Amino acid sequence: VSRMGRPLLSLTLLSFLMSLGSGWAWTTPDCTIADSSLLSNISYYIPSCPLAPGLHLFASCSNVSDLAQTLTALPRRLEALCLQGTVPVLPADAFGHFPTLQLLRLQLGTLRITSGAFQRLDQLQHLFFEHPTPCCLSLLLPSDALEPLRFLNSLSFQGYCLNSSQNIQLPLSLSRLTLRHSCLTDLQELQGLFPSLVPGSSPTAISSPWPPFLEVLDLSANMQLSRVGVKTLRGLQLHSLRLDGTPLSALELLASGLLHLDSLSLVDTGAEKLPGNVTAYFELSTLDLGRNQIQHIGDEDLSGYHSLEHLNLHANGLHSLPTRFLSALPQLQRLNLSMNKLGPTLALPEGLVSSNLRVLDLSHNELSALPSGAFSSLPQLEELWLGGNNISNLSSEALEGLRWLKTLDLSWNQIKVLKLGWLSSLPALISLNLLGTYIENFSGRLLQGPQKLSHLWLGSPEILELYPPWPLTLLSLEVWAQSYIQFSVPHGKPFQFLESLTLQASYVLLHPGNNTVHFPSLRHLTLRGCSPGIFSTHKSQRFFPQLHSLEHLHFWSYHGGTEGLQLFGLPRLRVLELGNLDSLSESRPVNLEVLLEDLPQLEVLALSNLNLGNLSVSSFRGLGLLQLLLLNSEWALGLDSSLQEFIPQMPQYVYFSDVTFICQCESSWVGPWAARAPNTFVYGLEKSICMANASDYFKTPLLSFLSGHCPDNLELQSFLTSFTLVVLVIIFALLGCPNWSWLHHLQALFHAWWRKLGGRNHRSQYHYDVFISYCRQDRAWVLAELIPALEKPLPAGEGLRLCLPERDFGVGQDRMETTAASIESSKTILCVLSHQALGSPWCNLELRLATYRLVAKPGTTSLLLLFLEPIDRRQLCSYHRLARWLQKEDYLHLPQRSANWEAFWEQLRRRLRKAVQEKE
Amino acid sequence: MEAEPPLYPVARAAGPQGDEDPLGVPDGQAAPLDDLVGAYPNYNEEEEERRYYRRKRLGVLKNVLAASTGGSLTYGVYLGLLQMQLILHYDETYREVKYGNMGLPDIDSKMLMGINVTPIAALLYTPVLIRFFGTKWVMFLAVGIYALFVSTNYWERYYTLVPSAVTLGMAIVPLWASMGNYITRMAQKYYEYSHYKEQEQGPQNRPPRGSHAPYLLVFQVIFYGFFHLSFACAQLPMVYFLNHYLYDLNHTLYNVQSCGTNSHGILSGFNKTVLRTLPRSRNLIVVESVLMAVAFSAMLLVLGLCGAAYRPTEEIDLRSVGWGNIFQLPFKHVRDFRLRHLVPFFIYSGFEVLFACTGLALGYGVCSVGLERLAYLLAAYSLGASTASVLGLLGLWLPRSVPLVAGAVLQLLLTLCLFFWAPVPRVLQHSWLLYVAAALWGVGSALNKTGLSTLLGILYEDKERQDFIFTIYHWWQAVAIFAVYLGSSLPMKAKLSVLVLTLVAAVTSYLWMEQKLQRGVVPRQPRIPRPQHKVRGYRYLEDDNSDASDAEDEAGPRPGPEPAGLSRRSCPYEQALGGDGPEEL
Repeated sequence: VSRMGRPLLSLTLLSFLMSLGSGWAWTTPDCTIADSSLLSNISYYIPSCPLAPGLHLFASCSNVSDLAQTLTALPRRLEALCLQGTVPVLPADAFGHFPTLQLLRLQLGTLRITSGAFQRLDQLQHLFFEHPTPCCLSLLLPSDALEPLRFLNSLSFQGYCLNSSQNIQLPLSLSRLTLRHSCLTDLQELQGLFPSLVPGSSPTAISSPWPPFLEVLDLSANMQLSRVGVKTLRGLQLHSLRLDGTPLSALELLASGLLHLDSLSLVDTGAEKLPGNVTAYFELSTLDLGRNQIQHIGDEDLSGYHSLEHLNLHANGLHSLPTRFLSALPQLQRLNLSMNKLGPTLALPEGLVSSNLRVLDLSHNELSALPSGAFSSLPQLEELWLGGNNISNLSSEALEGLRWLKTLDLSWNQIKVLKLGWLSSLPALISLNLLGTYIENFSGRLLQGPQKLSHLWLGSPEILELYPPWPLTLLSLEVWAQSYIQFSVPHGKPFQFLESLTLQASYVLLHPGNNTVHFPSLRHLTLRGCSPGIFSTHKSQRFFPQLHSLEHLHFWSYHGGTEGLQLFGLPRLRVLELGNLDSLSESRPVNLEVLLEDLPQLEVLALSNLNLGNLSVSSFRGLGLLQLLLLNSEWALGLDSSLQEFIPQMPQYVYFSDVTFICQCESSWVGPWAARAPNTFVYGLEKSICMANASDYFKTPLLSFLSGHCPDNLELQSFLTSFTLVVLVIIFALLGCPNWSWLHHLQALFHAWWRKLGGRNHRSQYHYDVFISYCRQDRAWVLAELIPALEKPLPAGEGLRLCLPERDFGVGQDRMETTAASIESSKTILCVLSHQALGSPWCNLELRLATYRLVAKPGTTSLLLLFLEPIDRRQLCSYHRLARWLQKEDYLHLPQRSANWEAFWEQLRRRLRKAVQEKE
Repeated sequence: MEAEPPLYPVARAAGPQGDEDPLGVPDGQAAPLDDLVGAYPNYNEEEEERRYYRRKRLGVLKNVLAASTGGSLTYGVYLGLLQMQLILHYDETYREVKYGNMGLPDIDSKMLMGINVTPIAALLYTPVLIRFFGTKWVMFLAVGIYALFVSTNYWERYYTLVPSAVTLGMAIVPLWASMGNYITRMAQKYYEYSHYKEQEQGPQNRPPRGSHAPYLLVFQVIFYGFFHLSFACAQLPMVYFLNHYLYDLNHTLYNVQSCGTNSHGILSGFNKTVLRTLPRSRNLIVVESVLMAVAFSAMLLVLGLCGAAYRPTEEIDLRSVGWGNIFQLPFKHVRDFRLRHLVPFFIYSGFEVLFACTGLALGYGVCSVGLERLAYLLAAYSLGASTASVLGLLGLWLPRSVPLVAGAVLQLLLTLCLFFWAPVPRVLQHSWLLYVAAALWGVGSALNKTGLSTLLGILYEDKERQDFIFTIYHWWQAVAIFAVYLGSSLPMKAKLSVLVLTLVAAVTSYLWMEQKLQRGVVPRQPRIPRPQHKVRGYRYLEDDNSDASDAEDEAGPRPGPEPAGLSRRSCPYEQALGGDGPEEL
């Protein structure tokens, strides 16, 4: 035969098994792993990690104490990694697992980095060392630690003192260097820290073929940085320098040895005057002076600004601008004057007609009136920000001359009425923001004039009624109102190309109630506070009939529950966010099964405060493409055990934030699943609590409840049971089938031992002390001599209980059986042997039974042979090997002369006594 | 002593049989007993004897059926469980979620190593084991060990799976060697029971050579019919349980590039996740309990229904050869050129089954039609093999080499076809071809297995060496399986070439042997030493101890009435010596 296919699959699968690496990672506590491309618009639910554009898969871990353990649990293909915790030493090759890592943000407290810590991070572009509270922890960075980072683009130290590190070699690719909140006091210290950056006069600097170059050097928030030192930055090519919040005087930069600078940021430095010299010296193109105290600018301050292209004077308390302002800044393209005091009437300085200004921000300036032709001097203006002012009246004259204006922001003004044709002078307008105004009836006719208006924001505090006609070019529309928004749509398809729609109101109405409004191109729909009836199953209530191209739906309802809500006719929906803002109302559990029945393309599902009740596998049926599931603010959420089967198809990312579970063992599978399921990243379970019922205030952490209350040892029990059963059957079968003499012997020894162990308990099995076997011919001697000698009561005889077949066997009993039974129940067998006895079948039988017992059950009985007459050895041989027997066993010879009998009796009694006592 | 003696000596009351009574009364003195028994006026001795032997023959048939079912159930359960567990463990999600950091792949590979490597040592202990416990008891023990293995699968840990796998590996060769021995022995017994008259007339004459061959053939056909069914039984857990959880081929074979003859290793590129949904542990326990119950009932079947293969006296004699001799004898049999010539065939026999299950079912089958059809492919193989076992009966009319060579040629043709066939992954159009190939391979397997086992039974008739021969046979298979285990990552073409080469070598070598035998070349057989009874003094006890029926039906001459004291009686075993082929002295 063959054990033929035995290894069968085994082999096969063996090779798979061996080839498996643990290339995947699974969730660790305190780590969020997410794909930012899936988190667009809903990233606020989970702790995130500030990313660089283009990075998707990131991990953000907090409370890290064992770095190696945390890192082994993360997926290898991470692109960005943020670590927060306390790790004193960064070991060598700490991040070797993550060859594709591009961004690394470390908040690990006081840190000592070993020199090979960043090995194998070939693709790392951004490296941040951060400490949240300002100044300063110490950071020890060996000089060659950054060498492996060949593509490092930006390097940032925030809240760290680098005093103990020296001579750090920066990669050539570095273009942004940030040292915020450090203990830097003198720019000269940079030389010691980064000799390759500032070759200056430092003799230790290694001369490199390329001159040091930096795009941005950010030294903001260094409260002690007050000295620059002469020529400390000599040789450094720098585009942008940020000195926000430092007590450094801008003038000192002139002596720093910097030859060229494009952009300088001096936010919140307490400056009261424009730093004209610096601007002129470096021919700056960008100057940021936000949050300073420059309240007045005189014409004389403006010399040397001819190269400036961007100027930020945000929050400076400016009252007015000098008359020569625009002509002194001929290159100016972007001017930020927000949060100043330029109101109430705007007075812009006259300038050259050819002013290049494209972006003008005048928001929050308490402006209340715009004189006509206010912006006529700025013909190139493309963006005009007027939000947060007090403008109540706006005429077309005020906006005259803005032929290229594309963006107009009038939000949060006091505008109540707009005249027809007010936009007639803005033919290029693309985006118009009227949020926070008081217009309650908005007719599409107000928008006549611009040809390409595509983005529109409308809002009023109470109600908003919208009337046609609407510009066909509209791509995005956002409408806010407190109580209701009413669309009047008599006919046609006004929103043919609308792609994005945001509505915030309690009710959304349609004027001729039986009409429908179609949004054939709508892709993003955001509804805040609307009643769920907007997606009702009833055709009559339903506002949105069918949205064939809708991909994103964010729906927040204030109306308690989502009754009547059913999402169908949304074949392309990829992202769905459903939430109930009314956290107090007691609503019935939402039936996800019905709600999500018909969403075949859904990839992202975020559910917030919906009272989901019990989640089971049926809730997710048909959501084959779901990649992200987010549950937020759930109360008494149950995870059904049927979901356990669903584990392989679970979305890749599952997040629980602020979820209270029901304490039930049904969900005991979530622990292993969350911790170990490959390809699924679960966040938030370790912080979740569970409650046994609504009145349970002992909030137990879910996972500890599950591990403490839900032991699952059925497998172990079945194993033990079946194993024991099989072993017992084997043992008993082997013992019970005495085919082997050794086993037999063993069994007998065991019996004897057992009996000895049992002691007195087994005494009762002996009815007799001595079984006497004799033949008819010897009967006379036995009755006359033997029996009295043994059976007489104690003083005279021995008082033994004798068993004589002829005397003690009952009438009608089978003699053979009784013989066997009596031998069994006698402590000793005494065989009286003579020639006649050897010839007698019964004596033979008894002898045979006795010898058999001796062999089969040693220790249970003993055999004593008593020879009445000498018998030839040869004769004995024929009888059951008596001869051999005699060689090692007891036998007695009856003396020929009766004179010696006394001694013989004594000997016999002694033997029997001994044998009997042994049995006791 | 639990067996009560029959009240009257049944078949052969005449003759000096007094010694047979366990409570024996010496001969000549039986008069008192006769009084008890009384006389039977209508006693028809002929008729009683006929009935008696018919009962014995039915008993032998029952033994064969019980052994076959027991073996097949055990093997089916084992195979089904292993297959199910390996598939489950292969799935990354299941493994991680259920076992996490336990290192299940490592455990599984150690387990497979235990199953595949341990049998290599079997040559050392199998004969000792079989002689020590006796054939039936080794069968029972090994089946018990299989059941233990099944039981450890409830609780999959390193310290349960690996030891049980190693133990299982130790039990494999003893089990199948003793099964082969058992079936052969049953055939001989059946012959004895159906020709009892000839035996009585000339008790000293051994039956003519090859006389039991027809029975042997039938019995082996029955055994292999059942045995090959076990592959189909092994698929039941998959069909009724696991298949509901599997992904279809579009998922599992997504990255599989080449199949069949172009493939390398086993299913390279196979998806790491094969389970669409995870089975709940409760369901798994239910399935395992069913398997456990079947394994347990197989144990009880072997224990309760399989009679002893030898009479107790024979077993004692077999055991009394001396353990050193028993240990050496398998090696000494290398002197026999017949065995030497058959070794390639033994090896091929191991290759062939493994190829059906791994190469064909996985490399050609699963690779192209998906894991969900594995069960059906193996079932096709199994049913093909099981039904084709009947073809082994051709040996009744044709020369014994014909079925064996026919199976080999069939498999050779199939292998050559497979050499040029690379099924396209994820294409179902040619799945019928796969089923046909599997079934045909099964036909080849059946012919091979029945042929070889029958051949061994015919070549080595004497019962005192059958266990050695079957041990050698199964040990070589174990070696072959170990070789496949080592070479599982080879390209399919290499595997096919090895298969073809082995097959050609096997057939050539076999035919050469047959030709040598026809020329009359006399094989050298190692002499089996005479039994040395240490416990000579009490042999009568053991005599009495044996089953009443067994003691009675002894075909050979009974020891004389004279008490076996100093002069040792000659046992039937010794009488049997020297009959079977010339022996080396």
